[in-house]
Amino acid sequence: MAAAQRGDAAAYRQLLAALRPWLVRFLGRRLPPAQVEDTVQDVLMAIHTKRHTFEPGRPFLPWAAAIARYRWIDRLRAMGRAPESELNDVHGVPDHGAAVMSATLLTALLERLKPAQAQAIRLVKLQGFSIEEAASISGQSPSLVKVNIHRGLGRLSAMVEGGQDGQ
Amino acid sequence: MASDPFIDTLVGDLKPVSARSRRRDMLLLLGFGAVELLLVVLMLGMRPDMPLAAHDMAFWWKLAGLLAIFLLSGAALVMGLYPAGRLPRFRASLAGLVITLLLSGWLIDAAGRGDLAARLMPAEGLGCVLETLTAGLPMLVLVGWLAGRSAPTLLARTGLSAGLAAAAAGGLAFVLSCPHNDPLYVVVWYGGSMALLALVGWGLLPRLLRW
Repeated sequence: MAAAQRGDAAAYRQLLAALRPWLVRFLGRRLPPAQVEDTVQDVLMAIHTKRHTFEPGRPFLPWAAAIARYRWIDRLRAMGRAPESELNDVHGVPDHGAAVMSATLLTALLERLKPAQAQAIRLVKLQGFSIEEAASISGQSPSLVKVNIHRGLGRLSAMVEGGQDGQ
Repeated sequence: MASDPFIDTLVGDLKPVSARSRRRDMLLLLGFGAVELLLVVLMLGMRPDMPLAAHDMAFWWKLAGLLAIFLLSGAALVMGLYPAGRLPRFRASLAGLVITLLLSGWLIDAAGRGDLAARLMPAEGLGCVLETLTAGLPMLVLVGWLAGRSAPTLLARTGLSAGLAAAAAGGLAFVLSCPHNDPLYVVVWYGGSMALLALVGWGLLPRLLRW
């Protein structure tokens, strides 16, 4: 990005091309499939227009991830405002009920963990970041990220086995 | 590598840009605060009892408190203007600072200084609130200008720190002109105007900071 800020088109193309698949994965887990491509383009456009806010010498991924998250939330807001369309009885996609239920339960369980443990699990296990990337985003050391994942997963198992979810 | 038309468009539009810098933004805030202080002193003059006030612990408590709140919220604001930027433990630090200021103010004021109404001077106090808020507005305009060239992603937190920094700058601008040092007066009127502007920043600024 530092090279792109100086006008290096080849470096910029390489950066955006490398970022695109990550954005598709990141947004694909959070948005309906029909919204993903538009939002990826939104994020790339935001990165383009706000590229001067990247400070050379600082890590790039947390900067890009913050913009992606911001645009994702924007998209969710827009979806909330959009008029609802009537659902047909015949659906072209399989039932997502079980997946939605699992996601809801998982969110509720994660809220019971210590914030650092929940954040480490979200970043590495749910959002697909590497340990190093998660450490960079969360401000925890890589070894602390691993410890938090291990302890957090242990606590989640204990909660599920002990039936503490209760609902 | 397969070509992506959208990426091609962005690359085609690429022009060199100068990278923003948090250090430069912080210096801009500090410089602006100093100019504001100078302008207020030039317009209203320095308090007549300044040599006497300089020997009053409460005067230094007020000055140091306002400066500390301005620096802390200013740093949080500048960090918040950048994606992924946030001052770690800002709210805890702010709470710690406020508690420290209240405790030290209480210690300075342990002997008390007369009855409540005489100490609070509501008419002057409300004028003080108005002046602090008015003096905070130019700082808010500066923040708006900076935000337009930035990319804040944590809007409520950035709005809160912007409101607080603007109010603290407004209070600081009057610190050499305002004749009141009484900790109770400072906590009620200065503290009240800061809390008000911080709430405005937290509640309203996110709408303006959105990009």
